[in-house]
Amino acid sequence: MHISPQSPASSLHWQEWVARHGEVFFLYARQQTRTEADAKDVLQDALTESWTKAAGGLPDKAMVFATIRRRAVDLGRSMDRRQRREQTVVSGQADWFLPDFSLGDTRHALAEAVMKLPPDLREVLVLRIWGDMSFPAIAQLTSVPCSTATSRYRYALERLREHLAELQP
Amino acid sequence: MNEFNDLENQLRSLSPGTLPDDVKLRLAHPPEPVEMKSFRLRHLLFAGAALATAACAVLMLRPSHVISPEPAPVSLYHQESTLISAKPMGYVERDGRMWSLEEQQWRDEEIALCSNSPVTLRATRERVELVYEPVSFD
Repeated sequence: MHISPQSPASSLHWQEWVARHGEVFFLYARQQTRTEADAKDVLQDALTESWTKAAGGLPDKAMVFATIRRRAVDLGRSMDRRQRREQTVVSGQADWFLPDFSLGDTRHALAEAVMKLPPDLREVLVLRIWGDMSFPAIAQLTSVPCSTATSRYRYALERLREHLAELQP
Repeated sequence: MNEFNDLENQLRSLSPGTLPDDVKLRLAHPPEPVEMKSFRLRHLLFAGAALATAACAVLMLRPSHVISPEPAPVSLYHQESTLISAKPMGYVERDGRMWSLEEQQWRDEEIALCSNSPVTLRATRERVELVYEPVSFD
């Protein structure tokens, strides 16, 4: 799909695109950063950069994930800025997933378990489940062999399953 | 991963949290077109490439300064002749006198020292001469 950057439809396409994918991108940005404030900054910068680079087309999802990752790494390196942000952020992070009280504790426990996964496992899980990325694409994005990406995904699921099993009476 | 189907479905049913209001506000409008910015960048690239080409052309077309060797001033010249061998050839009578005829072999050596560079030129050649000498009977 090609959109002229100066066309009146551009703003509408942007809004649709953000509405459709923004939450998943934000979820991934939260994985990659230490604070909510950083996640917001990284998300905004990455979406802006990806949209601009697409030059009138809709940005590729893999490219957006890669841009978020790179910008998060860059941000992590600027220690001063990070420290300043950490001082202003209230301890603890917001919930990564929407609460659904109708389904009881299982979903809440699952969401908590996802948040507690090691970052490398969690990253693959998020990209696969909510980013709907293929394993080769995840492998390329995370700079690991495809077999490693698959293994990480399996380990993440095993850990989650174990965690849920512990909660069963 | 069939064994994890249920778990995967459970995970998919978790919806990522909505975008915070301030983020929605930040992302309310698409980024500004960067036509001018890219034009300026392209312009700079073209200008840089043109300058580089011109510099290369100047370097390539510059008249090459071939240093032609000027005749070096000679500060010292020495010539030496050495008799290597003398071979008597016989006697000849002419004009009422006796002459001995001798074949002499000479070696001529020329040495030149250049004053403005440490160069020594040395030339050696050999020559054969027939020499008549009057014979005196004491």
